[in-house]
Amino acid sequence: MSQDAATDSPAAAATVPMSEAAIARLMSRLLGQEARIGGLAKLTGGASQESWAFRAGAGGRERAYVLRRAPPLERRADYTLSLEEQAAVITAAASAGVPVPDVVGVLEPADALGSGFVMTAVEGETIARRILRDARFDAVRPRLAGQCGGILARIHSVDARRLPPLPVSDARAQLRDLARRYDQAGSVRPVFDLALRWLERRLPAPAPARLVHGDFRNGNLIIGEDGVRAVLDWELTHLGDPAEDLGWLCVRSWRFGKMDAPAGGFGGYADLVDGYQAVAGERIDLDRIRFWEVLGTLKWGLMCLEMFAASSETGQLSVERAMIGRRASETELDLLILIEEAS
Amino acid sequence: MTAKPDADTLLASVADFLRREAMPRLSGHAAFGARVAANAIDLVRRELAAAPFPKGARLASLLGHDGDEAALERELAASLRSGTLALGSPGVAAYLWDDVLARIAIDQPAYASREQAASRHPSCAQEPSE
Repeated sequence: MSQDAATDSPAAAATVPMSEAAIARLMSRLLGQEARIGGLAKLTGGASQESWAFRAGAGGRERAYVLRRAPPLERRADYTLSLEEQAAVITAAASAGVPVPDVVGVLEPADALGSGFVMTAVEGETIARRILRDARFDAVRPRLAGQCGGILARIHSVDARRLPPLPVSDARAQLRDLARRYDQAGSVRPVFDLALRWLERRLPAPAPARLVHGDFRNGNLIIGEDGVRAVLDWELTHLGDPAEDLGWLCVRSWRFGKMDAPAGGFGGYADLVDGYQAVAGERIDLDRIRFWEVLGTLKWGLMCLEMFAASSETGQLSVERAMIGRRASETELDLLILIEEAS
Repeated sequence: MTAKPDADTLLASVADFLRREAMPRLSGHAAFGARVAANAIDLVRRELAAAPFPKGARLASLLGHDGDEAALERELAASLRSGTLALGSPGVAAYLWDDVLARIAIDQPAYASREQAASRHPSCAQEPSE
């Protein structure tokens, strides 16, 4: 199954009711006093599950929150975290100095809102193209790659004893998984075979397993004029090779047209690695990052195929999913560029 | 004689309707969906207008024997996976580049990696016919 597709049916949480009254009961429980709710609105942009924004006031103070939730019996791929697990990981990351929203509380069955958690809303921009092109980010943009390096170093430093049990997935395991998923995808892409062979021949030496975010890229970061304010989307978090996060950030599809700035479209490899070293004390080898960049490109290509396949299997064709299926060719082009550069 | 308006004109009118009539009246996810739908129509127009990539003939020439196109492609894939063929083997890189560039010209002509590829493979630099 695709990483996203299992959690993402268009009607995901539609069967679980949503109302200001239910949110008011929830927030009164979490804040410990009667809460008034306003501005309840479903947010767009989350590829899986539901996000709702609202304001809650209690005891003369009011602030903005976000609820992430899924139906109680939601079917998930075995390597995606439940929202409860995500809440625990975010809390552990916060204690290591990672900028994240504050987790205010986790849903309970009596809340009758599904499963999920409430976090504080963080002001800022998540749309990658605006971050890379709007003039208001001109001043901070050159610092973003270094900041990302530092933040990743903090994520990778989180003490495993503070974490819930997480999937363990290193380079060898992921490569095996990608080969299996490609064989099941029912689409012949000779460039993907070339990439699988290339990756098998270059498997890096095993590294001690660390907390890996798993989807750390431009688009999953809240950016303000002052820099990275929060890291979002902890659904693919696992234990593995820290270089995976640096490579994924550099995947060409996440450069959003700024191909000469490998780190998210806003900086270079050196900015990223220097920022990492400044916090972690250790330097991550560029060849190792490039390995994970190739693996990540192949992974995104397979996700494109799988997202379309999952929607067509249900008989509910989606123009968005169909168009994502056509994005697999961009990863074939990028794999050829990367493999040729490395040869 | 081709019926008028022809298929391309009909598709162009659908994309135009989606962008100029539907999108401004929609909001949120539906407006996004309408934009993606218009982009899909544009993609289909590019595909219909493109000169077909002679995949079967190119594969037969690369692999040195005739056969069913899908079977030839599976053979190439298996050879690349096992290492029997590599990017440096005669004809392999040229085939893979030409195949991918023909598809990206349809799927995503504005994708930024295309410029980089075109600078290395000048024969592929021309824009797809509109």
